[in-house]
Amino acid sequence: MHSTLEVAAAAAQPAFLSPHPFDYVISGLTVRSEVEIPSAIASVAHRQTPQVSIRAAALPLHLENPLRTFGQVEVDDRQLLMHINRIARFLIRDGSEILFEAEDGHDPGDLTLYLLGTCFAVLLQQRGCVVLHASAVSVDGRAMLFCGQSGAGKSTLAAMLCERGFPLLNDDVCSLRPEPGGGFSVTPDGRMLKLWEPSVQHLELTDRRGPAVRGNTEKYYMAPPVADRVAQRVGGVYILEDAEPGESVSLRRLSVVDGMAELKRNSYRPSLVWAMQMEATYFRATAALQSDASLYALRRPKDFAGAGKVLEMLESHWKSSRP
Amino acid sequence: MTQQTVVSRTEGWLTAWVGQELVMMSGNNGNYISLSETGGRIWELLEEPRSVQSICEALAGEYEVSREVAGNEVFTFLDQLKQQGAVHVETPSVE
Repeated sequence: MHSTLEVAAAAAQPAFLSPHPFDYVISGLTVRSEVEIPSAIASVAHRQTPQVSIRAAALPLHLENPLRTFGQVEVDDRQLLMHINRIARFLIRDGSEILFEAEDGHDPGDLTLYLLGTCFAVLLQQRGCVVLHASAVSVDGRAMLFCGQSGAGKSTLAAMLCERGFPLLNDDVCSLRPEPGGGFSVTPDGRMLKLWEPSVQHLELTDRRGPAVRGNTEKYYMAPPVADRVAQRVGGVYILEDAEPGESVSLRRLSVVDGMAELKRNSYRPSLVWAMQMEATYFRATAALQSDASLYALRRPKDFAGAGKVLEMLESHWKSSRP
Repeated sequence: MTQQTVVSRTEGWLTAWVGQELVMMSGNNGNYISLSETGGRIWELLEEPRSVQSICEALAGEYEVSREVAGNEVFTFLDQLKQQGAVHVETPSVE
């Protein structure tokens, strides 16, 4: 069958493309990309055909027979087409390819943010994975996840825990993998932390600060001081909440029902769960996760002055709940 | 509702046991509800439409309660399920 999506060989190649591909390991998958992804930690040449290919291509304006459509996104049973104004058109298909057609004048930082964020989450979902919007660190061999919307402080908290010696597992995209004996493990996302300038200043990390995430933004990539490369079993999930002024730090165990609603809200993109008809998969996984791991609401002031108390509370909580 | 009322599930619910509770999500509005172990057992019994009487008999056989005690709790529970839009009830008219 000839698809309208067959890629024209002579697609316009953006000037920044390198003739040599870049190889990475992202969320446990081997990736070969035509475009450099500065936020990926590992860069090793793959000897075998990589599981995921990221490359430029001429892309259609629409899918032939979309099953679901919302905003600038169209989905059928094997691919998802997405248009982001002034950045690119993206096509993610079969859990193995991310194709993009960049728009003139786009910021390359934006392009890699989308490739590694939303596009990679779609690809993981196409492979049947449940993907949470969370950062994670390793505590005694168990993954502790911190969920929250963009700007909730996930990366900053992970960075602070890293500074206390807990290895980083994930900055942003937590892909859950069912374990044979029950429960789930989280695959390290192989990404650097993304930190706003005030966090960099507070943590005194200026000398380790990497490139800006995008032009004209004071948010920077930063290599974690310690990172783990192996998947780890999920031990706990913490939903970040902002405390009111004057309110102290608190940790509250969530009921199963509240936990499931929170996990659904913190799927990488709830709209993509719907568009890709994965509600039942997410429902089963978020129920099964709670048979093995506990969920908490972590309510804390977002200022740096209270950060010490948050870390103390978490560390003593982990000591007391150690098996 | 009477002992003869026939109860059936509405469509579109996803369910999963987490420990001793049965968690359910509505496919229509995405709302979650949680049932106790006994409530979850009643939901399982409702795989086929059943009369209240037959539910009570099944429970009295499985748990050490009289049909009367089971009956009172079952009425309350089914009423809650109905309010959540999880079941239809139909009471046959007495000719």
